[in-house]
Amino acid sequence: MLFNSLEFLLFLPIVFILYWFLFNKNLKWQNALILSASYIFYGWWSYKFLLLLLLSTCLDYFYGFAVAQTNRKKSKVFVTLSVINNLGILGVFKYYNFFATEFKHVFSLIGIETNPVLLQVALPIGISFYTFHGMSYVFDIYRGRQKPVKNIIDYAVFVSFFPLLVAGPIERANHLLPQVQQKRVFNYNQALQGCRLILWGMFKKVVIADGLAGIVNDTFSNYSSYDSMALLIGALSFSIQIYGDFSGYSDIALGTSKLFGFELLSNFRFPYFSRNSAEFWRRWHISLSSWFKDYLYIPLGGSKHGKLMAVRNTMIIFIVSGFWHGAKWNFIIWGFIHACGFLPLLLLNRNRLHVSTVVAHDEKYPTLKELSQIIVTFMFVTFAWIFFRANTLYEAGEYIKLLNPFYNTNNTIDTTLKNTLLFLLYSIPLLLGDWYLRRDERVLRVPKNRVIRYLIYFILAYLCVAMMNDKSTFIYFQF
Amino acid sequence: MKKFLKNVFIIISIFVLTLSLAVIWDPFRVFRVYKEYYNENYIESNRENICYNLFIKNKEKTKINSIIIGSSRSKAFKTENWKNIIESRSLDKNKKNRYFHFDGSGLGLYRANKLIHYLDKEVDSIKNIILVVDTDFFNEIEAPKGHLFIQPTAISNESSFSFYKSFFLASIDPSFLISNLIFSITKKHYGFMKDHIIKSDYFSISNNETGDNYYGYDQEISIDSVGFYKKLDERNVFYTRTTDTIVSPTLIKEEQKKIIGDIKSVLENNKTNIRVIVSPLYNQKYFNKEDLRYLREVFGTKNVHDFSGKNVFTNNIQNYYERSHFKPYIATKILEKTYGPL
Repeated sequence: MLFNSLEFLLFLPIVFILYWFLFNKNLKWQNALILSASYIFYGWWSYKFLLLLLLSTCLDYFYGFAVAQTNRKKSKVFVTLSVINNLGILGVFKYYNFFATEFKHVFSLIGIETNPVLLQVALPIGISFYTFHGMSYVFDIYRGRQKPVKNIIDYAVFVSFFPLLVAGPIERANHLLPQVQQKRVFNYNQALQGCRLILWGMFKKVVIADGLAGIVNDTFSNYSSYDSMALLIGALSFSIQIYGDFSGYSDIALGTSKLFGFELLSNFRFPYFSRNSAEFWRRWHISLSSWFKDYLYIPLGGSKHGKLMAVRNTMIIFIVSGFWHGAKWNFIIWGFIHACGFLPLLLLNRNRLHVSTVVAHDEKYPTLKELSQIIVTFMFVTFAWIFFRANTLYEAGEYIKLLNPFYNTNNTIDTTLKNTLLFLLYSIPLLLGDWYLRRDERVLRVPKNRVIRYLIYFILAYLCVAMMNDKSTFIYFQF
Repeated sequence: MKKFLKNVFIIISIFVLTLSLAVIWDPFRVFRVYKEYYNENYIESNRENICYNLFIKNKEKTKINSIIIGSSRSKAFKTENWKNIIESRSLDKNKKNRYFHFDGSGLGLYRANKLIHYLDKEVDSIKNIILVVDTDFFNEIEAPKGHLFIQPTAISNESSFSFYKSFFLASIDPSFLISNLIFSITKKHYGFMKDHIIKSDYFSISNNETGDNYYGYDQEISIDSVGFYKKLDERNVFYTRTTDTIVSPTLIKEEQKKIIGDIKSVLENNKTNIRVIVSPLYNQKYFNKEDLRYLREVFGTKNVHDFSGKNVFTNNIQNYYERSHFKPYIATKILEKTYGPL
């Protein structure tokens, strides 16, 4: 089921009413309802892959117990088994074809012809997210940060809570599980914030991201026939599209969770106002970055063993993070480019700048220096997105070559002008909205004047309904 | 909780009520049945839905059995002319045939098949059919999207919900609303309105018994033919055509053949007299010979007539309203050729 679908518009109030009216006195029933709703939500897309979700859930639930109840040596075995299981599931469904094809390629280079069997199976939605939930749970038990959960329903809710099941945020057991196990009380302000977040998230997805999808798809499909300016607008549009799409999803997830009394981790903190690459990564897909930091970077030694090790570990997490997005060289190069943007800051000890607050936190506008830093960071991120969006490395390379106006001889001034106008039309409201809200991503500031406030709600809701395309999925569903 | 639900309910109710104004306004004339679909209507409508409503209204009264099917390009064919030709050639000695024109925006093979199946159920027998095709026609092998192209549910057998949803969403589309608002105030047609507002100083006229539709352009041309074409020339509507011979690639592939076979079996059951007419398009692209051979094999050589490419009909730009639609007198000449000399 998609958030931007009519089915979800019916599904959400039904679950909400059952949750607060029928089962509000019994926590167990409330959790059972959430679990059933989550499985219906997921099964709407493919009931067959529910078995995979169930299997992953049961295995990690078991490993959690096994890790807690055995000695250090044995528990390590169970942690390893959990990793093998989760990465095995990911490997089969997400990476098998990639490796099979690449091995074939390597073998053919040394003159050995192989013909590996390729799997003709769809990538289960959300697989990269729920397997990471499971692994973090077992890791945390191993590290003594989390106790194993007795009730399997509670654990299953943690893994498959429907707002975050298919595209995150990637939750931590010690953050979400206590909320699952605690009685939830309806809170008017929390629910109101939830509704606002859903509306704002829908607007970002349905209006902004889907509105720009046409320009992006057309430009990236026919890049060889467009002039440099049109290609630049196409790349910039993708930057805004993917942000609107993914942060829109996260806002809807956060908002929906609030309606049920849950607070999820933040996933975005206005990343396009970042002043350097390091700040960008503290603001973009935060739940994934922090997951890799906690479960990969730190176990690898982090920055404890000198600069060289820190550089190596940083490079590893960026490349793994790229590979997490998909079994394609494009994503690996995308990760590598970001590592290249981050490493100079690390080496110059400038990666911890701007840790605490967003730009112009106490001011109305950024300074000229800050503005130029924001623009440079945004252009760097946009450059990297070309690799993320292009179908192949070759296409990404050609696209970048054609961005050079001295090399590109196409003249598509009419399309360029039209796309520029559309790009401005869609990106300005999003960036202005973000600028207005930038001090706290979890609480949407609204105008105090009731008429203006309701007018804004009305316009946003109208645009969402008018532009809703229930065939359009979220970009991050494919990861 | 009560306060929250009350507030949410009030906001949603006001919102839904406001949006439901679109249903009351009904700019595409689908939520209700209308006596007249074209009076003072400058909004691009779903032609197939209008034809469907006129058909429903007339089918019992007139016992329709002869139908023209095609895209808006088929509008040039008028039932009255067809009737005269059939009667004059003694193909309908008792003058019992009842004629109807059933066209749809960009109607192609997929929808034509659905429509023929629907007619098969609805009329006693399909005695005569004219199927007006062109190179675009055979590209359609699945239901196209969009309110202008969606078929009435009785024809498509799809859900009514998606049908009405499509028109509801089109009615509240921001660019449609803005175009309408500006056009209502200024009465001027700007470029950005072209997908929503018909650019003509005169409204279309419909024959509510036969489904024939007459463009408002006819009135403009009769008043100032030179001015009409001068305006089109300024907008470079009639682009310069190449002197080379262009032939369309093969369009009829396996999927198309399956649908054509489906159409053929319905028409065979009805013992229908069919004429397949390949339209004379401004682009002067020749219809593919292989495709033509296939159509002749299926429907009979004498029943398939090709007017595409460079010929007496396509050479003169005055035979066209614009680059896409030819005029009724061309269609009449085509009918005369199709049914043979007197």
